[in-house]
Amino acid sequence: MIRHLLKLAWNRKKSNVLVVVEVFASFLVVFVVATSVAYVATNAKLKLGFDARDVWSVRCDSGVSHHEGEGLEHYSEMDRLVREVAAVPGVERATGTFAVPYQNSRAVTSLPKDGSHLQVEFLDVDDAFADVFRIQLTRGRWFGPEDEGRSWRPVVLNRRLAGALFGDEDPIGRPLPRNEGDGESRVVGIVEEFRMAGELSAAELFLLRRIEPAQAGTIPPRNVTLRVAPESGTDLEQAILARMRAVDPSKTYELRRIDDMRAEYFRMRLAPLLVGGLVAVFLLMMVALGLLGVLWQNVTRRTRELALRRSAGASGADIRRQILLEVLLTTTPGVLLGTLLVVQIPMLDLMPSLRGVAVSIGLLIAVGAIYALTTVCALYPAWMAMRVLPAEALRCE
Amino acid sequence: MLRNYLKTALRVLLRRKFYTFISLFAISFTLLVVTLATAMLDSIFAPYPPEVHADRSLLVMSLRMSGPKASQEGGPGYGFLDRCVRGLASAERVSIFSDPDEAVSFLDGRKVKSFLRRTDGEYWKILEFDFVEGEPFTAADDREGNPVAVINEATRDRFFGANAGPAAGKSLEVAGRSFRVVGVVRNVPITRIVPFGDIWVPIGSQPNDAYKSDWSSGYAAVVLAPSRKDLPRVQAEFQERLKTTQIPDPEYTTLTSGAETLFETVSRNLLSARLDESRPGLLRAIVILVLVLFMALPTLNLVNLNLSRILERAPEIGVRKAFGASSLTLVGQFVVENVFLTLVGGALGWILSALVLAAVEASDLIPYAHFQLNLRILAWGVLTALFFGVLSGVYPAWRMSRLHPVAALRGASE
Repeated sequence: MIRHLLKLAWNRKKSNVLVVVEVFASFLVVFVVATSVAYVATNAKLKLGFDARDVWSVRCDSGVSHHEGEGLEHYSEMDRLVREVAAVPGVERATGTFAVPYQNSRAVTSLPKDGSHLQVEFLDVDDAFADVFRIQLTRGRWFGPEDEGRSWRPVVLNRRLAGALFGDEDPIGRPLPRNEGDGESRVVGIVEEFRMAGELSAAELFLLRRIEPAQAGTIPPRNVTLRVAPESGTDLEQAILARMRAVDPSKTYELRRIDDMRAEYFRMRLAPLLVGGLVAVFLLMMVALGLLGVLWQNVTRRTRELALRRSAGASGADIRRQILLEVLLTTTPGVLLGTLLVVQIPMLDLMPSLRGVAVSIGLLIAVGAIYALTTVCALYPAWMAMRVLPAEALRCE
Repeated sequence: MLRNYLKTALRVLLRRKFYTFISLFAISFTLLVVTLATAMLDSIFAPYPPEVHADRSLLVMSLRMSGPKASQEGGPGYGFLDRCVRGLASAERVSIFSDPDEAVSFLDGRKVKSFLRRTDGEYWKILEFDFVEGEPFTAADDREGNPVAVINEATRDRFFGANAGPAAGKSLEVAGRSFRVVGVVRNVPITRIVPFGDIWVPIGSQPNDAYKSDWSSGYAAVVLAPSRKDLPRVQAEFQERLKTTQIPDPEYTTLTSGAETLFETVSRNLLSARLDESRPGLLRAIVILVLVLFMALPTLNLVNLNLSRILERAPEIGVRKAFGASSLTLVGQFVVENVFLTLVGGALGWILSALVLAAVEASDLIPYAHFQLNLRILAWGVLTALFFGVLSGVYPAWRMSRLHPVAALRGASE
């Protein structure tokens, strides 16, 4: 039966080519959308490493560009701002940070390891950072006043980075591999995870470094990040901004709640998926349209052939099965081509951050969606074919 | 004759209701998307007030400073624009203005966010805003750094209430400072890149003067030429200035920028790798190509559908041919049927897009959005529908005209 149907399909290859192309294109788009959704979902299941609820951040803009912001007096200005904000009633802890979570900014450094380099994301933080973001350490300790004036720089690693650098050995107290010209850093603590980019982003190797003491030629942190009591409202926002403006009126201040930034981050991340979904829906509609057209053509042209089958004893169900099989045979080349193309990604490791799980889920969903759609499209023409009455159809001869 | 064609067309289409329905659905959906895309692009790029002089003005919105070891690119800073754009001899007027920043105000414990733009006095002479109250601030206000502001109607309603009388003279607090309202303008949609804003204040009213020496980011400039013919002269003078200006940061040696229309700026940002050449022709070609490809898929599918529809009527066609109908008559009838179907689908798509645009305007998805389904877009829509209809009808009609009457009467469709 299959071989016979294949022959029929090959005879009509011209009208089938369009359907195959459409199936291929929509398979790819559905695969991309499904894989992206799976990727984002698998990322979201991992631990975040910090708690940003009730954390606010104030960006302090002195209006000067990068170079003019260097200078020791700028460090003491920022220190004063952090101290003053911490003293506002309703603020639990304050810290000066260079960056905050959920922003699209990454600082990356490379550490030498076994002849090559590891790309490591890093952030310079101070002693109060762990309290503001409620960071839990699994080994060792956080930075503290005892680290003041050391000749080496204390750092905290996430577990993935510790594993990559030191394997199963105890990393506490070990020095970090360093490049030419860098100072020495030693590990004082390990956190389970720290994903500054957000829940939906890939997990990285992360390094938290203790802020260096004020030095000429570097710029101080630009943000005052603080933890407030839960349910704090806009009057606390006003109080904080008023205090900061009183301390240093030469700067402009912008206060944002990390919760709002998180909502914005989710929107930005999910919007492309939405657009991709709309494009996928459009392409699937085109597939449906194309299939319906081709099948209608088939049925109207082959009324006599179908009638002959009926008169030879085939039941309505047999005819329906034939039509459905023909449809599946038409869509399979497109799906096969698409699968072949897509399977290269994990096989050749083209996108290392994309895990096998996400790709498999995406593939399954795409294949399932295409076949489900084509089966539904075949129902009406199959029903039309079933209704062909042998006596009517064979009469015209 | 036409009436007969239409009557037959209607009857034929109603015979196979399901396929007629899906054809209409495909046509109306495609035209809906095309109309929405056209309306969007129109609202961003077409010259609407307050940009009444768009045909003789140029924008400077990007700057690249490069040196042997480093380069930096992004929006230009006030310092750069003041040095290189302000004194252009061939320009009639030049205005420097900031990007719209979100600024926060606290009203009775509520947090209100507004888009704040800092401009000079010339801004109001180049762009013709519709003032419902008061007047704009001047270059003198900018020089002295007076804390005055122009606000839009939405801001007036938000801060003072919709029925609280004139707002001129009242003061409002934004970004921690107090400003006195001197004028109120009509809302401008966010899609108008240059004039959009909620609150406009003088550049000089900032707390410090650091912006004057900043060459990177935050500002843009618009240059008004005396007439359209003078635009190339302005561009040439600007490029000359870039070559001869001294850059304060010793790390950089070359300045790259352009004075151009918004469309050219977008094409440069999207398509040009080197930021020194805008490619509007390429962008226009790509947009048209995407639209054509987008419409090609449904057209091809419709060709298939139409082929089936017409070949189902093979016996009828055979009878008419046997009675002496010429191929031309039959082809004409079929094309009329098809164009009729496409125009109905097009009208449906048009109504749907009007509904969707009204819904977008009513929701706050795009602030102060105002989409006009004007004559230009209507003309494009009708043309597209006709093109669609004719294209998807030609091949099936040709196939049908080749049917031999005898074979057709027998029921064969080859």
